[in-house]
Amino acid sequence: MTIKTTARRARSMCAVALTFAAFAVSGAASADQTSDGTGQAQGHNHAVVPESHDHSVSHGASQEVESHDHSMGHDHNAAEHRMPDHLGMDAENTAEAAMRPDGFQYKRSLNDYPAPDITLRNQFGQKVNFAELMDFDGPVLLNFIFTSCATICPVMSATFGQTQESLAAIDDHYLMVSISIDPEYDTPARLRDYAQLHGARDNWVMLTGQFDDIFTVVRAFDAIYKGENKMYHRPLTFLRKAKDAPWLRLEGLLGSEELAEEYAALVRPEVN
Amino acid sequence: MRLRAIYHILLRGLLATMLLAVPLWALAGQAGDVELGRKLYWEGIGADGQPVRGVTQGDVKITGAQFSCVNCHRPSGFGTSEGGNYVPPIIGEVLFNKKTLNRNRIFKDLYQEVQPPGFWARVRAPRMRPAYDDVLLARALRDGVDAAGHEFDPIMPRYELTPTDVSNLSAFLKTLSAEIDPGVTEREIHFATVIGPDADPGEADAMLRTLNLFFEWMNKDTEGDTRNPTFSPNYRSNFISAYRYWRLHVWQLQGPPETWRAQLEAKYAEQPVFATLSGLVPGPWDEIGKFCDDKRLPCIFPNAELPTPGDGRYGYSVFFNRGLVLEAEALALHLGDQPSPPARIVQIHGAGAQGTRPATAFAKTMAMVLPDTEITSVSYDGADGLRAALAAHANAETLVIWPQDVEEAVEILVSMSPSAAHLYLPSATKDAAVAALPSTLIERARLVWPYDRPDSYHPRKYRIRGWMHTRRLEVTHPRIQLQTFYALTMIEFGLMHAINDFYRDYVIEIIEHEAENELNPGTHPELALGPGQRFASKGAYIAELDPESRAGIRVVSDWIVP
Repeated sequence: MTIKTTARRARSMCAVALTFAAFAVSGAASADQTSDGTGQAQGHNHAVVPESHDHSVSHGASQEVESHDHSMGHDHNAAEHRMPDHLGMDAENTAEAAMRPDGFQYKRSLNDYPAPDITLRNQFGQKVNFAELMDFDGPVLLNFIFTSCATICPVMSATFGQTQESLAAIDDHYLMVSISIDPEYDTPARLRDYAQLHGARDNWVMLTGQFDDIFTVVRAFDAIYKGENKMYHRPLTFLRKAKDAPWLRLEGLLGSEELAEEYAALVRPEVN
Repeated sequence: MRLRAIYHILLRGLLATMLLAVPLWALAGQAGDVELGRKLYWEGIGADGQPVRGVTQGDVKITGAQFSCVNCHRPSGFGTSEGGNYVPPIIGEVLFNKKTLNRNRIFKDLYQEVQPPGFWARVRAPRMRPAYDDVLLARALRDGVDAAGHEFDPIMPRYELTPTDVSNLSAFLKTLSAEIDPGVTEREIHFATVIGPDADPGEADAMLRTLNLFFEWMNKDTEGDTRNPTFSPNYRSNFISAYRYWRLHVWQLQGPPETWRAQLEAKYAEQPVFATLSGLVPGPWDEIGKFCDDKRLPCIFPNAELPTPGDGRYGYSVFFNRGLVLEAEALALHLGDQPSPPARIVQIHGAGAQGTRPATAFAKTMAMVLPDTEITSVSYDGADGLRAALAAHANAETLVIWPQDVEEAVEILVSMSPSAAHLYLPSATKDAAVAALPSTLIERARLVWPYDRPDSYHPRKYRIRGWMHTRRLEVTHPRIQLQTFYALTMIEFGLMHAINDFYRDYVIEIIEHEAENELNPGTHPELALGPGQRFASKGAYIAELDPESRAGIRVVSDWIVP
């Protein structure tokens, strides 16, 4: 981040600074990658499924390829989202890739994320100990959102909202958790309005709290974003079958059916 | 009954025939209603008054209430980048013309934002398309296919829109960011700073010195870059159209607030400005805020103690925080958190807005957090009024004071020395209280402190101080000067990323994005905005006075966010 801050700091309209920023960002990206992976108590990645899901092919649990490539687990997504070293010249940046829509694919991986023992507040202003909440003895779906978020949160929340019915059809005993990464703006009252907007059932908990506590959870789920600026957050959804089961981490936006299928495959593998 | 049923069947049949017979493009070309288009764009409400419906991400059904165009494409229509999703500009000038490649327009998306992998492929092999017309626009919105037939990303909802909705939207998009905003000429960009009649002359001077110095150095840079005989033909020359000399106009207001509007109108008519920067206005910002909204004039981070009331969604004034009302609410929450909360509180407040607004907010929040605590609110006018109020409540256990005049109030507190066990004061009293209160009162006094703790570390504070010191700027009022510098930084980066798209909405959107980057001058623990957010800092501490320390205070509570 240091290099980038330097570039930002440079005087406005100074084209030297601007072009310098172009080179600085790619450098900062790789620097970030290393710093993300170290120094923080993150979940240990034990079963990576580095497979990208595409709508054109059928997908689901049956397709999972077990792999133990540990290097794939951490923050690969953040690095991929940055500017490539050679602008648009990488092998995968073909004309075909340019024509394809970006969505309709997401990445999956299984990880252990220990729940930090911190206190947050739910949409009713009540204190909620996060570790205790995660002691819930059933499936949990979790994501990070903020209510003023323009682009991806409304999609993620609408997906959660619509999928509730499918989940309840399998078994009512599950928990949905949305954690605000803009906790000071997202007061319990704003979270209540947001829950109403997306037709949240009683078992969909929205959480806010002290900034540092929220960020402890963000770090615990390896969900940190560039420059600690929430505007650069990524679409992540986490599913868990039971209390001590690993988390299935889904990176990218999902449709309702996709989420329901992932959930069903996780909760009822025998049916699939 | 039967007749009615038959009638209904016939009617339904007729409607179905009409819907079948009128193809989507039949109404295309008819002039749409700009205002209805605006309503659709902003609120997701169709011409029939109902929220429109659509599907995102393949199968997620949504309504216009959850997903209106403005969400992603933003008020300016320039789009955004968020969470690895790129939302392209959809202003009429772009949409209804053949796609042209414009490196400057995607500059910020190239270097500042997180992008999907396909974005980079498209930098090399752009997807070109012909101009949209209403037929192609209708198809795009319904089927998710662009004017050249490329499929949209699944995040773009596929909407069920009537032909009327499409032509309304089309009409609105043609007006969106159609012409660059006032205050910008080929050579210059004009800004103003608003100073209220009651502003402290020392503070106003410190703010103006900071503004003038910043402008001077901006313009020196501009001159150096644009006059350089070896001006780079490949890089910097791309941005030559973005350079402007910054011009500052000081809008010094006079007289009572109800006359300000006319003064502002006259000054704006004389020289339109692109935005107002910083500013110093004691008392309510309401009149100025209304002017900013009506003129669609960004008023960037004024030093204001009473920002326009409201929940801070959109609007053209962007503030540091909610001022005295925030302080009052934070204090109430703090009292509510005490192990043995007070049974009775006397709050003494000035009769003007500086007194009544926090007093009202305090009483309201107390009723919520401590409904059993008895609140006595006493309004006063002038020094004698305050003396009388203090005398009348000499035995109050807990005193909260929202002064009309900070120095006068501290002076009276010193002379009257109330016996209250707890005395709560707003942050503005800090300097006077630290200097004048006797040690017996200092022990019992607490301040609401909506700023960062004195011992916090913000790297950028040192860089800004360095910038000021090397340019021989005397730092007489650090808070005001650092806040002013932040306002300047925000507009600087806003314009830097807008390149030569001098659209006010677009620049505000960039500021919303930028505010949270590591640009905090160290005045507040966090400064962050979000789409439509207008208050960058949201909480306050409670502090005790500590005259021995350099800062004069010591924070004694958590950061309280009402």
